[in-house]
Amino acid sequence: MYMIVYLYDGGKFCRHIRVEFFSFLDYSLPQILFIVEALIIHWQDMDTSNPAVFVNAEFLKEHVGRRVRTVVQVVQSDGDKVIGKSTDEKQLVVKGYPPNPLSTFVEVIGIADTTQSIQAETWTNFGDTLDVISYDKVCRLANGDHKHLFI
Amino acid sequence: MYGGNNQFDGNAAFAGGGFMPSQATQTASDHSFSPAKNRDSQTLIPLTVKQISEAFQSSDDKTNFLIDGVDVNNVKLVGILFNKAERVTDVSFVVDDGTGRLDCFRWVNEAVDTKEMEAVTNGMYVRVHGHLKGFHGKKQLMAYSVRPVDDYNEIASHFADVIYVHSYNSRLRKQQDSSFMSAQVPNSAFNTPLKGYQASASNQFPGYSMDGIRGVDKMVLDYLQQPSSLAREKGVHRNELAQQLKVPSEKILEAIESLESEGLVYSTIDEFHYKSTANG
Repeated sequence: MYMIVYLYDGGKFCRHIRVEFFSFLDYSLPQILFIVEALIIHWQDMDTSNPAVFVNAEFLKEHVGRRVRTVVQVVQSDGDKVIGKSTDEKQLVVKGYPPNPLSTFVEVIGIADTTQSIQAETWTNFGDTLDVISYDKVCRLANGDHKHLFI
Repeated sequence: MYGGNNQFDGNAAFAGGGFMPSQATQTASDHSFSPAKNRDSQTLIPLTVKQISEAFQSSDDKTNFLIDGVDVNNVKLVGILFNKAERVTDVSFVVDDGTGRLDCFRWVNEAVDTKEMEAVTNGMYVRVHGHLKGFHGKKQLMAYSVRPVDDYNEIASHFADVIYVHSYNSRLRKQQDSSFMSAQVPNSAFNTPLKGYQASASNQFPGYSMDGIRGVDKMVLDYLQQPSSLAREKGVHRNELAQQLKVPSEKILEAIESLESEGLVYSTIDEFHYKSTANG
Protein backbone atom coordinates (compact mmCIF):
# COMPACT_ATOMS: atom_id res chain seq x y z
CA MET A 1 0.00 0.00 0.00
CA TYR A 2 1.33 3.42 -0.89
CA MET A 3 0.13 6.79 -2.02
CA ILE A 4 1.57 9.33 -4.39
CA VAL A 5 2.12 12.74 -2.83
CA TYR A 6 2.58 15.80 -4.99
CA LEU A 7 5.08 18.27 -3.57
CA TYR A 8 4.83 21.98 -4.19
CA ASP A 9 7.68 24.39 -3.73
CA GLY A 10 6.50 28.00 -3.43
CA GLY A 11 3.24 26.91 -4.99
CA LYS A 12 4.85 25.40 -8.08
CA PHE A 13 4.58 21.69 -8.55
CA CYS A 14 8.07 20.28 -8.35
CA ARG A 15 7.88 16.53 -7.98
CA HIS A 16 5.84 13.73 -6.56
CA ILE A 17 6.95 11.16 -4.06
CA ARG A 18 5.72 7.77 -3.09
CA VAL A 19 4.78 7.48 0.57
CA GLU A 20 4.48 3.98 1.96
CA PHE A 21 1.68 3.87 4.49
CA PHE A 22 3.46 1.56 6.88
CA SER A 23 6.49 3.84 6.96
CA PHE A 24 4.50 6.97 7.74
CA LEU A 25 5.93 6.90 11.27
CA ASP A 26 9.41 7.43 9.84
CA TYR A 27 8.46 11.00 8.99
CA SER A 28 8.65 13.80 11.53
CA LEU A 29 5.46 15.69 12.39
CA PRO A 30 6.34 18.80 10.31
CA GLN A 31 7.09 16.54 7.36
CA ILE A 32 3.74 14.82 7.72
CA LEU A 33 2.02 18.19 8.01
CA PHE A 34 3.76 19.31 4.86
CA ILE A 35 2.70 16.17 3.03
CA VAL A 36 -0.88 16.62 4.16
CA GLU A 37 -0.78 20.24 3.04
CA ALA A 38 0.68 19.20 -0.30
CA LEU A 39 -2.18 16.77 -0.71
CA ILE A 40 -4.72 19.45 0.13
CA ILE A 41 -3.14 21.84 -2.36
CA HIS A 42 -3.31 19.17 -5.00
CA TRP A 43 -6.93 18.48 -4.28
CA GLN A 44 -7.79 22.13 -4.27
CA ASP A 45 -6.16 22.60 -7.63
CA MET A 46 -8.09 21.62 -10.71
CA ASP A 47 -9.19 18.06 -10.40
CA THR A 48 -9.54 16.52 -13.83
CA SER A 49 -8.98 12.99 -12.54
CA ASN A 50 -12.63 12.02 -12.34
CA PRO A 51 -14.43 13.42 -15.36
CA ALA A 52 -18.04 12.63 -16.23
CA VAL A 53 -18.01 11.63 -19.87
CA PHE A 54 -20.86 12.68 -22.17
CA VAL A 55 -22.56 9.45 -23.29
CA ASN A 56 -25.59 8.13 -25.08
CA ALA A 57 -26.56 4.44 -24.94
CA GLU A 58 -24.01 3.56 -27.61
CA PHE A 59 -21.02 5.17 -25.83
CA LEU A 60 -22.12 4.00 -22.40
CA LYS A 61 -20.82 0.55 -23.35
CA GLU A 62 -17.28 1.93 -23.65
CA HIS A 63 -17.31 3.49 -20.19
CA VAL A 64 -18.55 0.75 -17.86
CA GLY A 65 -17.11 1.36 -14.38
CA ARG A 66 -16.47 5.04 -15.06
CA ARG A 67 -18.28 8.28 -14.30
CA VAL A 68 -20.61 9.32 -17.07
CA ARG A 69 -23.29 11.88 -17.76
CA THR A 70 -26.28 11.47 -19.98
CA VAL A 71 -29.78 12.73 -20.60
CA VAL A 72 -32.80 10.42 -20.69
CA GLN A 73 -36.42 10.97 -21.49
CA VAL A 74 -38.31 9.46 -18.59
CA VAL A 75 -40.51 6.53 -19.64
CA GLN A 76 -41.25 5.00 -16.26
CA SER A 77 -40.27 6.03 -12.75
CA ASP A 78 -40.37 3.76 -9.70
CA GLY A 79 -39.16 4.63 -6.24
CA ASP A 80 -35.58 3.53 -6.80
CA LYS A 81 -35.06 3.52 -10.55
CA VAL A 82 -36.01 5.27 -13.74
CA ILE A 83 -36.42 3.63 -17.11
CA GLY A 84 -35.69 6.12 -19.81
CA LYS A 85 -35.04 6.61 -23.47
CA SER A 86 -31.50 7.70 -24.34
CA THR A 87 -30.72 10.48 -26.83
CA ASP A 88 -29.98 7.76 -29.41
CA GLU A 89 -33.37 6.18 -28.67
CA LYS A 90 -32.34 3.10 -26.72
CA GLN A 91 -33.57 2.03 -23.33
CA LEU A 92 -31.45 2.90 -20.30
CA VAL A 93 -32.00 2.08 -16.63
CA VAL A 94 -30.97 4.67 -14.05
CA LYS A 95 -30.67 3.36 -10.50
CA GLY A 96 -30.88 5.62 -7.47
CA TYR A 97 -33.46 7.92 -5.93
CA PRO A 98 -34.88 10.31 -8.52
CA PRO A 99 -36.07 13.76 -7.46
CA ASN A 100 -39.74 14.46 -7.10
CA PRO A 101 -41.16 15.94 -9.27
CA LEU A 102 -39.29 14.60 -12.27
CA SER A 103 -39.38 16.48 -15.57
CA THR A 104 -39.68 14.80 -18.98
CA PHE A 105 -35.94 15.05 -19.54
CA VAL A 106 -33.49 14.38 -16.76
CA GLU A 107 -29.71 14.54 -16.71
CA VAL A 108 -27.93 11.91 -14.71
CA ILE A 109 -24.33 11.91 -13.54
CA GLY A 110 -23.17 8.64 -12.10
CA ILE A 111 -21.22 5.46 -12.57
CA ALA A 112 -21.92 3.25 -15.58
CA ASP A 113 -22.48 -0.05 -13.80
CA THR A 114 -23.48 -2.15 -16.82
CA THR A 115 -23.68 -1.52 -20.57
CA GLN A 116 -27.32 -0.45 -20.12
CA SER A 117 -27.52 1.03 -16.65
CA ILE A 118 -26.14 3.86 -14.55
CA GLN A 119 -25.91 4.15 -10.78
CA ALA A 120 -26.94 7.79 -10.33
CA GLU A 121 -25.13 10.29 -8.09
CA THR A 122 -26.68 13.53 -9.31
CA TRP A 123 -30.02 14.14 -10.98
CA THR A 124 -30.90 17.39 -12.71
CA ASN A 125 -34.32 18.11 -14.16
CA PHE A 126 -33.75 19.39 -17.68
CA GLY A 127 -37.36 20.44 -18.23
CA ASP A 128 -40.00 19.22 -20.63
CA THR A 129 -38.48 20.47 -23.86
CA LEU A 130 -34.96 19.61 -24.86
CA ASP A 131 -33.22 19.35 -28.20
CA VAL A 132 -32.07 15.73 -27.81
CA ILE A 133 -30.71 15.59 -31.36
CA SER A 134 -28.21 18.37 -30.61
CA TYR A 135 -27.31 16.75 -27.31
CA ASP A 136 -26.69 13.46 -29.10
CA LYS A 137 -24.53 15.17 -31.71
CA VAL A 138 -22.40 16.88 -29.06
CA CYS A 139 -22.11 13.50 -27.37
CA ARG A 140 -20.76 11.95 -30.58
CA LEU A 141 -18.26 14.78 -31.04
CA ALA A 142 -17.12 14.47 -27.42
CA ASN A 143 -16.44 10.77 -27.94
CA GLY A 144 -14.92 11.16 -31.39
CA ASP A 145 -12.32 13.51 -32.81
CA HIS A 146 -12.62 15.95 -29.93
CA LYS A 147 -12.35 13.49 -27.06
CA HIS A 148 -9.16 15.14 -25.82
CA LEU A 149 -11.11 18.28 -24.90
CA PHE A 150 -13.21 16.29 -22.45
CA ILE A 151 -11.29 13.35 -21.03
CA MET B 1 10.37 23.27 2.23
CA TYR B 2 7.86 24.98 4.46
CA GLY B 3 7.77 28.08 2.33
CA GLY B 4 4.44 26.91 1.04
CA ASN B 5 2.80 27.36 4.41
CA ASN B 6 1.87 30.96 3.82
CA GLN B 7 0.19 30.52 0.53
CA PHE B 8 -3.23 29.88 1.88
CA ASP B 9 -3.21 32.89 4.07
CA GLY B 10 -6.33 34.64 2.85
CA ASN B 11 -4.86 38.15 2.83
CA ALA B 12 -1.79 37.12 0.91
CA ALA B 13 -3.85 35.09 -1.50
CA PHE B 14 -6.14 37.90 -2.51
CA ALA B 15 -4.01 40.97 -2.12
CA GLY B 16 -2.21 39.97 -5.29
CA GLY B 17 -4.69 41.60 -7.62
CA GLY B 18 -7.83 40.39 -9.20
CA PHE B 19 -9.79 43.60 -9.13
CA MET B 20 -10.80 43.83 -12.73
CA PRO B 21 -9.73 47.42 -13.51
CA SER B 22 -6.16 46.90 -12.38
CA GLN B 23 -6.02 43.58 -14.19
CA ALA B 24 -7.17 45.18 -17.38
CA THR B 25 -4.63 47.96 -17.31
CA GLN B 26 -1.94 45.52 -16.45
CA THR B 27 -2.82 43.35 -19.41
CA ALA B 28 -2.78 46.33 -21.69
CA SER B 29 0.64 47.46 -20.61
CA ASP B 30 2.11 43.98 -20.51
CA HIS B 31 1.53 43.32 -24.16
CA SER B 32 3.38 45.37 -26.69
CA PHE B 33 1.12 44.10 -29.47
CA SER B 34 -0.84 46.23 -31.89
CA PRO B 35 -4.27 47.34 -30.63
CA ALA B 36 -6.00 44.81 -32.89
CA LYS B 37 -4.04 41.92 -31.49
CA ASN B 38 -4.71 43.14 -27.99
CA ARG B 39 -8.43 43.21 -28.58
CA ASP B 40 -8.31 39.71 -30.02
CA SER B 41 -6.70 38.40 -26.88
CA GLN B 42 -9.53 39.76 -24.75
CA THR B 43 -12.36 37.92 -26.45
CA LEU B 44 -14.46 35.58 -24.37
CA ILE B 45 -13.44 32.03 -25.19
CA PRO B 46 -15.66 29.03 -24.39
CA LEU B 47 -13.54 26.29 -22.82
CA THR B 48 -13.65 23.09 -20.81
CA VAL B 49 -11.83 22.84 -17.48
CA LYS B 50 -9.72 20.10 -19.06
CA GLN B 51 -8.44 22.58 -21.66
CA ILE B 52 -7.68 25.13 -18.94
CA SER B 53 -5.81 22.56 -16.86
CA GLU B 54 -3.62 21.79 -19.85
CA ALA B 55 -3.15 25.43 -20.84
CA PHE B 56 0.38 26.45 -21.38
CA GLN B 57 1.42 29.30 -19.15
CA SER B 58 4.04 31.48 -20.72
CA SER B 59 6.42 33.71 -18.79
CA ASP B 60 4.93 35.49 -15.77
CA ASP B 61 2.56 34.14 -13.22
CA LYS B 62 -0.52 36.25 -13.75
CA THR B 63 -1.55 36.37 -17.38
CA ASN B 64 -0.67 34.77 -20.70
CA PHE B 65 -2.23 31.38 -21.01
CA LEU B 66 -2.03 29.75 -24.40
CA ILE B 67 -4.72 27.37 -25.64
CA ASP B 68 -4.59 26.21 -29.27
CA GLY B 69 -1.97 28.89 -29.84
CA VAL B 70 -4.33 31.67 -28.77
CA ASP B 71 -3.85 34.01 -25.82
CA VAL B 72 -6.55 33.27 -23.30
CA ASN B 73 -7.72 35.89 -20.83
CA ASN B 74 -11.49 35.83 -20.58
CA VAL B 75 -13.24 32.49 -20.55
CA LYS B 76 -16.74 31.07 -20.48
CA LEU B 77 -17.60 27.89 -18.59
CA VAL B 78 -20.84 26.00 -18.10
CA GLY B 79 -20.98 23.55 -15.23
CA ILE B 80 -22.31 22.67 -11.81
CA LEU B 81 -21.51 25.06 -8.99
CA PHE B 82 -20.59 23.78 -5.57
CA ASN B 83 -18.58 24.53 -2.40
CA LYS B 84 -19.98 28.05 -2.44
CA ALA B 85 -18.55 30.02 0.47
CA GLU B 86 -19.41 33.64 1.18
CA ARG B 87 -16.73 35.80 2.74
CA VAL B 88 -16.40 39.48 3.52
CA THR B 89 -15.17 40.70 0.16
CA ASP B 90 -15.78 37.77 -2.13
CA VAL B 91 -17.62 34.52 -2.77
CA SER B 92 -15.56 31.46 -3.60
CA PHE B 93 -16.93 28.43 -5.38
CA VAL B 94 -15.93 25.52 -7.56
CA VAL B 95 -17.28 24.82 -11.03
CA ASP B 96 -17.42 21.22 -12.25
CA ASP B 97 -18.15 21.04 -15.98
CA GLY B 98 -17.80 17.26 -16.17
CA THR B 99 -14.24 17.48 -17.49
CA GLY B 100 -12.73 18.80 -14.26
CA ARG B 101 -13.09 21.29 -11.44
CA LEU B 102 -11.91 24.86 -11.27
CA ASP B 103 -11.67 27.25 -8.31
CA CYS B 104 -13.52 30.50 -8.89
CA PHE B 105 -13.82 33.75 -6.99
CA ARG B 106 -16.35 36.49 -7.34
CA TRP B 107 -15.63 39.88 -5.80
CA VAL B 108 -18.67 41.41 -4.16
CA ASN B 109 -18.29 45.17 -4.31
CA GLU B 110 -21.80 46.23 -5.11
CA ALA B 111 -25.34 45.15 -4.37
CA VAL B 112 -25.72 43.75 -7.87
CA ASP B 113 -22.82 41.34 -7.25
CA THR B 114 -24.36 40.15 -3.99
CA LYS B 115 -27.72 39.72 -5.67
CA GLU B 116 -26.29 37.69 -8.53
CA MET B 117 -24.42 35.40 -6.15
CA GLU B 118 -27.52 34.90 -4.00
CA ALA B 119 -29.35 33.55 -7.04
CA VAL B 120 -27.03 30.58 -7.39
CA THR B 121 -26.76 27.68 -4.98
CA ASN B 122 -24.74 24.51 -4.71
CA GLY B 123 -25.64 21.82 -7.25
CA MET B 124 -27.01 24.34 -9.75
CA TYR B 125 -25.95 24.53 -13.39
CA VAL B 126 -24.33 27.91 -13.98
CA ARG B 127 -22.73 29.84 -16.80
CA VAL B 128 -19.62 31.63 -15.59
CA HIS B 129 -17.74 34.39 -17.38
CA GLY B 130 -14.45 35.39 -15.90
CA HIS B 131 -10.81 36.23 -16.15
CA LEU B 132 -8.40 33.32 -16.04
CA LYS B 133 -5.53 33.94 -13.72
CA GLY B 134 -2.49 32.05 -12.52
CA PHE B 135 -1.60 32.30 -8.89
CA HIS B 136 1.36 30.44 -7.44
CA GLY B 137 1.20 27.98 -10.30
CA LYS B 138 -2.51 27.35 -9.78
CA LYS B 139 -5.20 28.46 -12.13
CA GLN B 140 -8.18 30.37 -10.85
CA LEU B 141 -11.11 32.11 -12.40
CA MET B 142 -11.95 35.62 -11.26
CA ALA B 143 -15.62 35.50 -12.21
CA TYR B 144 -17.43 38.67 -13.21
CA SER B 145 -20.71 37.02 -14.17
CA VAL B 146 -22.34 33.95 -12.63
CA ARG B 147 -25.80 33.14 -13.88
CA PRO B 148 -28.01 30.12 -13.46
CA VAL B 149 -28.68 28.06 -16.60
CA ASP B 150 -32.43 28.06 -17.16
CA ASP B 151 -32.55 26.63 -20.68
CA TYR B 152 -30.73 23.31 -20.51
CA ASN B 153 -30.02 23.34 -24.24
CA GLU B 154 -27.33 25.79 -23.25
CA ILE B 155 -25.19 22.92 -21.94
CA ALA B 156 -24.98 21.06 -25.24
CA SER B 157 -24.71 24.40 -27.02
CA HIS B 158 -21.77 25.47 -24.85
CA PHE B 159 -19.83 22.28 -25.56
CA ALA B 160 -20.59 22.58 -29.28
CA ASP B 161 -19.16 26.11 -29.01
CA VAL B 162 -16.07 24.76 -27.26
CA ILE B 163 -15.49 22.27 -30.07
CA TYR B 164 -16.09 24.88 -32.76
CA VAL B 165 -13.70 27.43 -31.24
CA HIS B 166 -11.07 24.75 -30.72
CA SER B 167 -11.35 23.62 -34.35
CA TYR B 168 -11.32 27.21 -35.59
CA ASN B 169 -8.25 28.18 -33.60
CA SER B 170 -6.30 25.04 -34.41
CA ARG B 171 -7.11 25.34 -38.13
CA LEU B 172 -6.08 28.99 -38.09
CA ARG B 173 -2.80 27.98 -36.58
CA LYS B 174 -2.26 25.23 -39.14
CA GLN B 175 -2.93 27.70 -41.95
CA GLN B 176 -0.45 30.16 -40.52
CA ASP B 177 2.12 27.41 -40.31
CA SER B 178 1.57 26.31 -43.89
CA SER B 179 1.69 29.83 -45.30
CA PHE B 180 4.90 30.32 -43.38
CA MET B 181 6.25 27.15 -44.97
CA SER B 182 5.30 28.20 -48.47
CA ALA B 183 6.90 31.59 -47.92
CA GLN B 184 10.13 29.73 -47.30
CA VAL B 185 10.07 28.05 -50.73
CA PRO B 186 8.32 30.55 -52.98
CA ASN B 187 9.86 29.46 -56.27
CA SER B 188 9.19 25.76 -56.25
CA ALA B 189 5.59 26.23 -57.33
CA PHE B 190 6.48 28.49 -60.21
CA ASN B 191 8.94 26.10 -61.78
CA THR B 192 6.57 23.18 -61.91
CA PRO B 193 4.16 22.58 -64.78
CA LEU B 194 0.38 22.93 -64.69
CA LYS B 195 -0.27 20.02 -62.42
CA GLY B 196 2.07 21.38 -59.83
CA TYR B 197 0.42 24.75 -59.91
CA GLN B 198 -2.99 23.29 -59.22
CA ALA B 199 -1.79 21.15 -56.42
CA SER B 200 -0.12 24.03 -54.66
CA ALA B 201 -2.62 26.67 -55.62
CA SER B 202 -3.72 27.43 -52.11
CA ASN B 203 -0.21 27.84 -50.81
CA GLN B 204 1.35 29.64 -53.72
CA PHE B 205 0.49 33.17 -52.75
CA PRO B 206 0.29 33.16 -49.00
CA GLY B 207 -0.83 36.76 -48.85
CA TYR B 208 -3.55 36.48 -51.44
CA SER B 209 -5.20 33.14 -50.81
CA MET B 210 -6.25 31.76 -54.18
CA ASP B 211 -9.55 30.72 -52.66
CA GLY B 212 -10.70 34.28 -53.15
CA ILE B 213 -10.42 34.05 -56.95
CA ARG B 214 -13.66 32.83 -58.41
CA GLY B 215 -15.89 32.94 -61.44
CA VAL B 216 -14.57 34.70 -64.55
CA ASP B 217 -11.34 35.70 -62.78
CA LYS B 218 -10.62 32.04 -62.12
CA MET B 219 -11.47 30.99 -65.70
CA VAL B 220 -9.19 33.66 -67.17
CA LEU B 221 -6.37 32.80 -64.82
CA ASP B 222 -6.73 29.08 -65.54
CA TYR B 223 -6.64 29.75 -69.29
CA LEU B 224 -3.52 31.89 -68.98
CA GLN B 225 -1.92 29.24 -66.77
CA GLN B 226 -2.20 26.56 -69.47
CA PRO B 227 1.24 25.48 -70.75
CA SER B 228 0.24 26.43 -74.32
CA SER B 229 -0.62 29.98 -73.17
CA LEU B 230 2.50 30.25 -71.07
CA ALA B 231 4.65 29.17 -74.03
CA ARG B 232 3.44 32.08 -76.21
CA GLU B 233 5.79 35.01 -75.99
CA LYS B 234 3.15 37.65 -76.72
CA GLY B 235 0.65 36.13 -74.35
CA VAL B 236 -3.06 35.76 -75.13
CA HIS B 237 -5.31 38.36 -76.79
CA ARG B 238 -8.38 39.52 -74.86
CA ASN B 239 -10.62 38.55 -77.79
CA GLU B 240 -9.27 35.03 -77.73
CA LEU B 241 -10.12 34.75 -74.04
CA ALA B 242 -13.63 36.02 -74.74
CA GLN B 243 -14.14 33.52 -77.55
CA GLN B 244 -12.60 30.52 -75.88
CA LEU B 245 -14.26 31.06 -72.50
CA LYS B 246 -17.55 32.23 -74.07
CA VAL B 247 -17.67 35.23 -71.78
CA PRO B 248 -18.54 38.83 -72.87
CA SER B 249 -15.43 40.91 -73.45
CA GLU B 250 -16.41 43.48 -70.77
CA LYS B 251 -16.35 40.68 -68.19
CA ILE B 252 -12.96 39.57 -69.48
CA LEU B 253 -11.66 43.12 -69.14
CA GLU B 254 -12.98 43.35 -65.56
CA ALA B 255 -11.39 40.03 -64.69
CA ILE B 256 -8.06 41.02 -66.21
CA GLU B 257 -8.04 44.31 -64.33
CA SER B 258 -8.68 42.55 -61.07
CA LEU B 259 -6.05 39.86 -61.75
CA GLU B 260 -3.60 42.53 -62.82
CA SER B 261 -4.10 44.45 -59.58
CA GLU B 262 -3.43 41.22 -57.69
CA GLY B 263 -0.18 40.85 -59.62
CA LEU B 264 -1.25 37.55 -61.18
CA VAL B 265 -1.25 38.68 -64.86
CA TYR B 266 0.51 41.41 -66.88
CA SER B 267 0.13 43.03 -70.29
CA THR B 268 2.73 42.24 -72.91
CA ILE B 269 3.14 43.93 -76.34
CA ASP B 270 0.01 46.08 -75.96
CA GLU B 271 -3.00 46.40 -73.69
CA PHE B 272 -4.76 43.53 -75.49
CA HIS B 273 -2.25 40.77 -74.83
CA TYR B 274 -1.87 39.30 -71.37
CA LYS B 275 0.32 36.67 -69.74
CA SER B 276 0.30 34.98 -66.36
CA THR B 277 3.06 36.01 -63.97
CA ALA B 278 3.47 32.32 -63.08
CA ASN B 279 5.80 31.95 -66.08
CA GLY B 280 8.50 33.65 -64.07
